Amino acid sequence: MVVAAFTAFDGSPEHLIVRTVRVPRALVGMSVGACLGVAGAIMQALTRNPLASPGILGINAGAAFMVVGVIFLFGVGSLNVYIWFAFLGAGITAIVVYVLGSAGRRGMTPLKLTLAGAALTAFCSSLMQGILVLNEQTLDQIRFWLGGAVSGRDLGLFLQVLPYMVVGLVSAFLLGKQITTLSLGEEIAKGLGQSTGWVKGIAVTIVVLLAGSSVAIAGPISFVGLAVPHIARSLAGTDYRWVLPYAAILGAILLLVADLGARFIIYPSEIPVGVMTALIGAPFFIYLIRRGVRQL
Amino acid sequence: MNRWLVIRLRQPGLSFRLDLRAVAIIAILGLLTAGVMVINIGLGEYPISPPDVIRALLGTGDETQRFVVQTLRVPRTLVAFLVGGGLAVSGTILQGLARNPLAAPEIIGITAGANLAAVMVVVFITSISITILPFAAFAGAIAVAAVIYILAWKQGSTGSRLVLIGIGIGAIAHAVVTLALAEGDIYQVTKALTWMTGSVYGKTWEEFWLLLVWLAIFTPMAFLLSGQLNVLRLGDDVARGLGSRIEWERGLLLLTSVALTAGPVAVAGPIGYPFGFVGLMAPHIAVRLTGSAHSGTLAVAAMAGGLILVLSDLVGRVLFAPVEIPCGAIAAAVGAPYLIYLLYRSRNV
Amino acid sequence: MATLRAEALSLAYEKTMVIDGLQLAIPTGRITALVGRNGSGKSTLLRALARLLKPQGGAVFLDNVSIFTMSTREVARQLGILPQSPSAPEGVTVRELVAQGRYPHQRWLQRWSKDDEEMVERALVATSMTGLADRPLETLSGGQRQKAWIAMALAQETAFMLLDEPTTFLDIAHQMEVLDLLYDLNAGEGRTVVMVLHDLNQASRYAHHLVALREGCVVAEGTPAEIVTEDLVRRVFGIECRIVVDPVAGTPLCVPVGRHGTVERSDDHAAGLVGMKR
Repeated sequence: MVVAAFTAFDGSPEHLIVRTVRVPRALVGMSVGACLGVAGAIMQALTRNPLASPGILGINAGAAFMVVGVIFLFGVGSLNVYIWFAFLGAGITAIVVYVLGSAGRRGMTPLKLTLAGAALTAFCSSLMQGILVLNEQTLDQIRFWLGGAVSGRDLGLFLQVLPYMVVGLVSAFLLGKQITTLSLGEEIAKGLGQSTGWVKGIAVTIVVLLAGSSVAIAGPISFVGLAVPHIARSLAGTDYRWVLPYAAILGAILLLVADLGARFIIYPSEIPVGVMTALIGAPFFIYLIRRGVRQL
Repeated sequence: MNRWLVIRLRQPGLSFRLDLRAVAIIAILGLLTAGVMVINIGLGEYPISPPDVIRALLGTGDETQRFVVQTLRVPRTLVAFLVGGGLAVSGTILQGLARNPLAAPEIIGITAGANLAAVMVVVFITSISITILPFAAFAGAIAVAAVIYILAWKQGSTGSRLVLIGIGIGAIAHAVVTLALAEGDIYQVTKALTWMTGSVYGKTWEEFWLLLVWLAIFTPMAFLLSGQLNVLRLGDDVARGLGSRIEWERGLLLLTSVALTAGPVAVAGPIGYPFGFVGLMAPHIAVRLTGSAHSGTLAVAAMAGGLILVLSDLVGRVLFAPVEIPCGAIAAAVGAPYLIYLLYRSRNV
Repeated sequence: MATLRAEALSLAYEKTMVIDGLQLAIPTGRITALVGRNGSGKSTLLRALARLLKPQGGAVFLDNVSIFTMSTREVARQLGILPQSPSAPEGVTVRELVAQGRYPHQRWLQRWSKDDEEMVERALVATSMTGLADRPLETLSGGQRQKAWIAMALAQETAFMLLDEPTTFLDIAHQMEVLDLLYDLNAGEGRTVVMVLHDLNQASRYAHHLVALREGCVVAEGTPAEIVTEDLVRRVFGIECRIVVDPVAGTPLCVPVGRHGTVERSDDHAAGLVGMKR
């Protein structure tokens, strides 16, 4: 029936629901999950820190802050507009973090990048919380988005963001080999002839595309980027040509399952998807950690 | 470069050494803190000039001023200092244990647990009085820490396992909190959010003494254990070779760290949650200031954390007066740029 | 003087039995080198001797007391270990690191006694690191860093020093520096040194007592002159070689025979003379 809804559309309510609500929702969920998983995997390879994720490295916070700021200042109402500000916020934060993480004598080191990201995250999220406390109205509008949601996104909007996601994912897969080399360590990579500066720069751009578009369309969903790479690495080893695709698939699955759970657990009310990803992903993540920590 | 001040007392058989640079930094930070406190006490709806503040503190001067200063303003700024100091020490311990610069009580779930307990109480038990919150928060922190430790135990613990599991638990706690915030009644939610940002507004002498006693138990413990922490930082093998009983010491250190977080969070709310500032950044600031991750970091971090929060409280009160922004929100806004500046200038990172 | 030995020692590493029923007595006051291929169990054995690994069977005896019945602190006062590739936190200076070595001798309130200070200075002098004492570890060369770690082990004031591959990753000048230092510490202060060495020739040169391991068993032990033979090398390392006399030290020198780069076998091979004109 799902297929028929697209091929032989007959205007019936069932077909309508499938077309306008369920399929877009599933598609959005899967792509967001895939993007976040891959973005997280790249971040962890880049910073050589198993705690790294787009969340802690400022992207979610920057995006959220931008959205909150815009709502506060201009009282903007519609989702369509949020999206682009979220993207913008993510992009700006990522660039700032990258620049800060590369400042100083030794260029970009994992430690500096991680710390810069954490500092910026703290900065943006604190400012955001300040605004939310000051202005209850903004709070009301934003609180559901803050939890992350993949519903209510019409297909058209999604299609606008999709090209960025696709470009990001494809580039990531193509960069897999370089990332594996880089994950061995800066010196080893240079010794093997890699131009690490370029690779790092491209990697960060990819992360912006992936994480930025995810936050834009679905709000800040924070656990996927952290946990999925660990799971992917335990299944696929250390070769990023495999880890990245695994991360994409696992991320997509996690988000789909989370979305299902979000819809049906306290039916008919809905839980934000970000909540479900944590509730499902975290126990599994903990189980994995107990089994053995893979230090990248 | 390394100048040590050695103190040896024959009678109680005491001997220890202090890094002179750290001592100097602590002194400077102390002076700065005192200065900021005086200014902070003087500001507000009823402004009092600094000399008058000093007079009021000493018990002389105008009676109204004395009341405002001694009953209203001093406790809150002192509480801010204690909270900042406690969280900073807690973060330093955690970063040493985990050997990861991202470890901090706000990140590894302890603050999240405290927060969860408190938020659940506020949002779902509408008739509860606000005085139950500290106990709920405290219980939450301890409970979560216990869960994390048990889960991380597998023939012994390792630093990274503790941290990663802490993040997992923290994520669960955070998710449930977000759920409560999204589903709950908007008025309760606002109350919860206010608590969540962390603030020293309206803190009384009672709370100050409570926190002081609590910290007075655990901070010295942290300092006594700093030798153990230093040894653990050399790696498990070297530590064992030097005679460290790794599991015991890690457990004790973790306990101290949790206690040093639970107290402040119980009194002032989860400052910096969910991304943390004081517990995460203050240790790093301390390292950059002293130039080494080794000596005197605990004390410097404590002073830095205290100063940051006191400063944040000041800024929070002044910026949009008469509306007050909770110092938790300001802390990151004040401290993060400073950390970034330090990172930029650091020769060695 | 204290004695260290292993009896009926069995050790497993992640569920595989690496060593089974091993017997070994470490000669006191001498330098002992453990040699063998990768995976022969030499590092595992050293770690067991250092109380870093709990044996599945048998025990390690320090002065006839099983080390696992002693507290870690007591053991630390007699055994010092330097593991492979140790890491120190950022910014630690040499002096601070060496001071850490006093940990087993310190109490809660006695954190920096006169003894502590003296021993640290002596350790620095013995390793010629006094001039570098205030430099951060990461600014030093590999050899200097290794010496700093050895100084830390020295400050620990132990009768036994156990080192896991102390010369791997160092260039030849630094390797010699470290080995000579260990030799001095043994000769001058009578410390018993046990080290895992990769290089058989270094082991032959510097060790009084050689223990050759293969697949977790002791294949031979004794002085280098006694046990280093072509047959031993074949059994332990799986390669062909010629044993000649080291022209500098007079100890056995193993010259491996590979698939390439060999000249014709001369008639004087059996005599083991070097520099013989053909």
